[in-house]
Amino acid sequence: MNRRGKINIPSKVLFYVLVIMCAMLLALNYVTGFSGGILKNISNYIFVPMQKGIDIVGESIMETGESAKTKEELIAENEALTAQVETLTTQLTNMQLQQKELERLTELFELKQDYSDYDVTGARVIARGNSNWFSTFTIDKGSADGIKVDMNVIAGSGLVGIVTSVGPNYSVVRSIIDDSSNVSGMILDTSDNCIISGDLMLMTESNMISLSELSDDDDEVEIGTAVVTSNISSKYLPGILIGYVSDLKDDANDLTKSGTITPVVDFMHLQEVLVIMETKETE
Amino acid sequence: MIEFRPIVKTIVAYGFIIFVYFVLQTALFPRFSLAGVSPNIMIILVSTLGFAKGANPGMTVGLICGLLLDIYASGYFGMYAMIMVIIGFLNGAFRQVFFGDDMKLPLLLIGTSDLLYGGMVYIFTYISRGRLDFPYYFMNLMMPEAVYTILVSLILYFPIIHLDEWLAKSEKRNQMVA
Repeated sequence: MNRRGKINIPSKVLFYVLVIMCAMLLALNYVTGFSGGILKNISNYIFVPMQKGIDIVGESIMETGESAKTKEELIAENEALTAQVETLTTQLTNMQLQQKELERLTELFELKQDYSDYDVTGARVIARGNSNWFSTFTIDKGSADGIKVDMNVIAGSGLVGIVTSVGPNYSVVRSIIDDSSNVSGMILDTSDNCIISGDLMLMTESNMISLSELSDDDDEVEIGTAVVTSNISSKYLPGILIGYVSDLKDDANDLTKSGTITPVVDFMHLQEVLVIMETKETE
Repeated sequence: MIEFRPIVKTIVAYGFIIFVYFVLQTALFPRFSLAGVSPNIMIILVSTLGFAKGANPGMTVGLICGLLLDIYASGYFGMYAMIMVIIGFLNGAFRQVFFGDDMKLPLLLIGTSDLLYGGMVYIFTYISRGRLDFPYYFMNLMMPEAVYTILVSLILYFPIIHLDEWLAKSEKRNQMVA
């Protein structure tokens, strides 16, 4: 390298300098919560557009690979689908009527369903898998769309995770199956509180997440009961469905129970998610 | 006297390859994950640069790749950067014994680097949370990831090496003209 008179830094020196630099970043992250600052903005404009593009390409590759269909098949499918659309439209109208009725009745009962009232915005999953050890993914909306750290992310009817870092046009979401994720949950039927934690081992073995610290003295909680986010959670809005209890047993201390729950969201095939546009206010 | 053109060219070329590999890792390969793991493309890049080009380029590119991973992760900011710098540095030690025509050493080094990366992530982030069953994580996460990474590196190893050659050639050509 020094043939053109460039300064040649001994690699050991550079190594120590860089390691100390990284250690300082880690310390800064620990003390002030620094997580990228200006770097986020740079990466935002370089990577996000490309990831979006690749994501679409990847999706189409998967689609063509999965279903290389002939023209006849497509026509037949189209006919079937058109018929289905018609039936569904009828059903939808009926449902809307019923929904109106339900709203009217709930109003009468003065019941307020918080869950459906959340203001949400849709986002696409554009990147994931920067490590096999953690389950985080990137979505294509960021602070420019009003997304903030700690906003809850749902898909379909269940909890997906929480926004952990936000750039101008992207956000990083940590899913509830991530090994370091902990959610304060509640058994829907009995209102007993418990802790829902992601567990990589459980997830690879059986696609489940673990449930612990459940105090259920009267043995009322049954297999198949729904678990929702608890109202005492500091970051998760109350009443979002997490999953269903699939296994439960007494802990060694005989006071609490632990087990596993099956999440309602299919984390393997997550394409679109909804971000709830409010954070839980805690004192 | 320092010439700027080759330096700029090097920076552009390296920036481009980091960009492509990072997009591959985060947007494309997770779609083709096998046994629940996707390959670690950044390791291929940092490790290959380390043993083919030396510890300094390995560490510098390692730092950039690590920071990128950190930005898109939700853990400790700086952890991946540190791991990647260490991997770039260690691979640099093998530059003396590296010859371009033999694939055995590169594949071995990339595989080992990936295992090392897995081990460090485990130590930094899993042990402290009481996840102590290392053999399980080794067999179900680190080994499959290393194997998949080695397989992918059979393809992705060559652009890095040829980028090197291409840069060397164009630098030589420039020198001849000058």
